[in-house]
Amino acid sequence: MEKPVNITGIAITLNEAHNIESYIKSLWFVDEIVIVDSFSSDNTVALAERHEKVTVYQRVFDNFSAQKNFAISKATNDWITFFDLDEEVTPSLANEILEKFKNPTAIGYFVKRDFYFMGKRIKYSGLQNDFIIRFFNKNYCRYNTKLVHETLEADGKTEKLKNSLPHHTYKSFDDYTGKMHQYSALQAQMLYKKGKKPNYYHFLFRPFYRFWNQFIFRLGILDGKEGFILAYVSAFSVFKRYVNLWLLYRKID
Amino acid sequence: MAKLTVIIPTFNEEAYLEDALFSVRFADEIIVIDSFSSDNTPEIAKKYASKFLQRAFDNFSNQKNYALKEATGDWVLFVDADERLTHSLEIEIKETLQNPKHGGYKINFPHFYMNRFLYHHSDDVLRLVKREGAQFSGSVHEKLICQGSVGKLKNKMLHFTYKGLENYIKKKESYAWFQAQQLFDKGKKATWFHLFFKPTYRFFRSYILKGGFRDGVPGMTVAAVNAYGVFERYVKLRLLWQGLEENKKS
Repeated sequence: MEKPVNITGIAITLNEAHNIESYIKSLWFVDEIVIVDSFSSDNTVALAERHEKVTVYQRVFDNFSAQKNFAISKATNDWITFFDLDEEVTPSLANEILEKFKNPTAIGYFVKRDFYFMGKRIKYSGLQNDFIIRFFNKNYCRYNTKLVHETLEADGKTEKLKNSLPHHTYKSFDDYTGKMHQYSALQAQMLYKKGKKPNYYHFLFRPFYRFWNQFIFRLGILDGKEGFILAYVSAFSVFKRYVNLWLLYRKID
Repeated sequence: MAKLTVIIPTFNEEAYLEDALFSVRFADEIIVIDSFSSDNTPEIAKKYASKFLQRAFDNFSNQKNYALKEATGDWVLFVDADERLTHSLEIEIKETLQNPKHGGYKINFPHFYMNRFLYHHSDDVLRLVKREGAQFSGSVHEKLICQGSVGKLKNKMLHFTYKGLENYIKKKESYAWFQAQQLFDKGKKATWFHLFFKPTYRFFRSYILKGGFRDGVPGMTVAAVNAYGVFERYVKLRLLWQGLEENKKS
């Protein structure tokens, strides 16, 4: 292993005690880690602060973008990595990032995430091309202000890295559907703010289309039953998004 | 005139119980059978009930049968804490008991959902019975059995089951574990037929055949969430077979 370089690893956490050690270890190549914690009730903070290069800030969670941009503002280096704690920064990916750091050819680098669901690597279902910027120069990049699916906006040239990033987002089925429920509630709030009204096209056609799109057009069928289950769950969460929106207008819980 | 006993089983029902008790105050005797609530349920119950009993919960049948033994009325009506008798149901019960033609009467329960009643999503449940020879059987889905023929009352019981959409879906999800485990124990496997056809059919039956579409968005949501519950049942059955997850709800 080489010596750490002037890169800042940023992360946002809430109750990640089970992941924090391996996360910090996997970032052996950075000389600074900035963690913005939304007041974890477990010992995430204590575990993180034991490491010399780690600085922890606690901040009330308002939304993902604000939390991430706050972390960027606390970084002392120009180059930043952002990884979620359920992403596995493999040694080969780390080496590739180091190479790019020495000879940067862009201001932001996309990494391809590999998604695992119910014990199976999902190769189709529209999840095969999940590219996301995980290494970037902070002078050219900021997270935009969407409530969910916030993305990093890069003002300059971006490239793709060769190595992929295993994404262990699936822990259990209930956990997975719980997250989907949260998303659909947040998305409903977003639509509500925009003044969008739900109608039968949204209730009946949109979920059906989502299923069809994911399972047939995006070849989820080749992922077998897992592909079917994924498509079904996401179609249901589309449906639920509009029911939540409907409830918001009627002020019902 | 025949005497009426109302039996209400409770466990931490302080938010709901008082209105239920108030709606049955015309009864000759009210028995609350409590599974050792930790909230204010006992205090509220004692204000109205003729008898307040406590017993460790094992299953619904045993709990209600225990209360049944304490009942002295000629007729018994079972009411849950989140149910309310309307005034017209009260009058109908009084009139019926003056000259009963049956040994028991079913009551219709329209589902209360998203602040409205779904009249196309309702159940008839036997609740009013002659005490003599009546009892509950079955440990999971307890069933009330009575002597003689069974009739049906016209007026409906109000049942406030809806406690938020998330809560409703969560209940379905945990129930899906329970059902998946039952299927697993029987050696059943989750096939494409189960994953695809069964949920689709459940939606179709509830929304079209049973007329759920006439109940607007809430009717559609009930149909979709029920179908989703069927779907989850088979997903979880598959997880059990794969050994990927254990049933967390048993």
